[in-house]
Amino acid sequence: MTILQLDDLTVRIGAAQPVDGVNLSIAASEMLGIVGESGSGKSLTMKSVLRLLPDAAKVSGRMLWQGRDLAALSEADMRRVRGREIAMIFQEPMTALNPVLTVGLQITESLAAHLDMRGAAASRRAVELLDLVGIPDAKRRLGSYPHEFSGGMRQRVMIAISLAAGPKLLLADEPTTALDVTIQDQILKLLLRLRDELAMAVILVTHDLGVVAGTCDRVAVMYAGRIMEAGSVEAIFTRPSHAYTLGLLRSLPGSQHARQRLDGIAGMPPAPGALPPGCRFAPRCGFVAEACQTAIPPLVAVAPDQQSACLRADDVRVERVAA
Amino acid sequence: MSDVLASPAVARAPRRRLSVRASTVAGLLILALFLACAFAPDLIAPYSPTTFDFRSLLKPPSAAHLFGTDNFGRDILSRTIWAARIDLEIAVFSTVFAAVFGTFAGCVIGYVGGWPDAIFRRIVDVFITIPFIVLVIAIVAVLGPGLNNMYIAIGAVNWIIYARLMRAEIQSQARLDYAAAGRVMGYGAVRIVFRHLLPNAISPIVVYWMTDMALAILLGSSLGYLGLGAQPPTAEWGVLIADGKNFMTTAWWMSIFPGIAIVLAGTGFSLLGDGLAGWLRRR
Repeated sequence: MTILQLDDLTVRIGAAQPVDGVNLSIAASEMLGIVGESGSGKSLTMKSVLRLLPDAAKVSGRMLWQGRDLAALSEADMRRVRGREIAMIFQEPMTALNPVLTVGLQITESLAAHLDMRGAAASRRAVELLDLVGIPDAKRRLGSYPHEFSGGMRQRVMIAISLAAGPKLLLADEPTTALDVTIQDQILKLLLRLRDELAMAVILVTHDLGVVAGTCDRVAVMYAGRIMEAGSVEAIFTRPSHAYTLGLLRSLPGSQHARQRLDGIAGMPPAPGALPPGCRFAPRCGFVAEACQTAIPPLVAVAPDQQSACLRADDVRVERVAA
Repeated sequence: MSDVLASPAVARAPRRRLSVRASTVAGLLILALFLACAFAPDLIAPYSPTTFDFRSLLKPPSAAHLFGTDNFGRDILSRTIWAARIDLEIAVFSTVFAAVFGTFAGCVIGYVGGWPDAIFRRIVDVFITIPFIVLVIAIVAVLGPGLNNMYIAIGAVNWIIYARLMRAEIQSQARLDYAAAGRVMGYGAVRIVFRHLLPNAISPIVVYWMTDMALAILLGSSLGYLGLGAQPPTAEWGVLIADGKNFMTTAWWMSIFPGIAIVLAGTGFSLLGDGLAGWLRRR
């Protein structure tokens, strides 16, 4: 069952269009990965779902959340959605916690604001939440300040706070980028476990394909504000059908023999104000054809569990099999 | 799975010890001395501050009158001690409105931004073109001399400084992730500003407030000296200095000792402010 569906979501900032016609859906208890380079519009997409962008950013399109269009909600209704129905965690757990309040207070504040739960009941629930995210000795740590926790522990605290009101969707904006690899693994496993235990959908924004491969059910690949390819993780990794996805997979270390140079993608992503007229990836693409440079290719189904916006999808697939 | 999730037990960080520097202690001691004078001058002062004694006019410091006597035979030590009550009152009363209202206004202006901010910036521009003391003197001159009017005048001008400080601090705090996290949690603007941003933004205000109290004593004394603040025969350090100005060459003790009291009180507030600043920064 689809709980969130984005239809033609577009963000305009001045003349630039950093998010351009994104169509995306996520089902209950699903883990969806969004991958892309810096500046591809992943975080902006997440923020526009919660309507957190400054007024200068004009958002258009529909954002259907359990049948309601988030774009049409009043600010008061939107506030009830934030935190209570859709929660979000950030890249930097170091700065996303309030440094002068104890973590206990920050959790109980959310309980009071959303569930009207206070006093002993709230404290008990806070301990449960810290337990749930795997913080040892939770009861004693309620009185600790954020600076008394390590980075990984802070991200756990952040997750506990965002879970307090029982959201149905968690937007995780590069939650592990600032953490080292072993901690990253713990946090991702935690997110997976929470997804299973709480039947909560998770959108995991990352630039790390390896993270997606290990955790997500489905993945959407973004480039210069558009979705290039979307589908099940299995389909995308075994049968990539977009030249950009293929390029990303090839630039992963470990996909070739040892001690070989990595195949990067030549060139730079286009600036949001100076986009090519056709496919956004055309200027850097090895498969580029004339048609690619004139019109933006639509996102079309190339398999039951896969959509691609590449005119040369078939050739890309052949190339992958040949490699 | 659970063994992967279980993380190494984190030893509870030892509670911060409240280490205080010697200069802070000195500031506290000085202020404690003046506070004692302010709360119980009748117990500390050896003489009445207002009783004339025409047998001992303009006597230099001696065992009987440690700070000497003035042209009416009043004991300078006693008058300086009684003046502490008025001057500390000036320090607190002329800053408390400015600090509280200015902080509040700065929070709102800094978080809301837009046209309130534009108007506020114009007000600031106007006020900083006119010297602070000139503005205060002008307002007191209109309202009439006296302590209450002086409080009103200082408060009416001084809140702008606090608001400006707070506005900048709130603006920089509002850009940090935890403010965004508050919005993500669906918290309202009031909760975000006053519960999350304000405690993080308050330390410069607290430190400035300490400095400002020292400045207020100086300003109060200046206005007292000019006859716009406390009125004689009330003992106030500025008034005492003004009383002594005609006898500066013959009875230096009349102005020097109240002057030293002003310097000491100012130093006390400044040292405490420094100490607080350091302590707040370490947190």
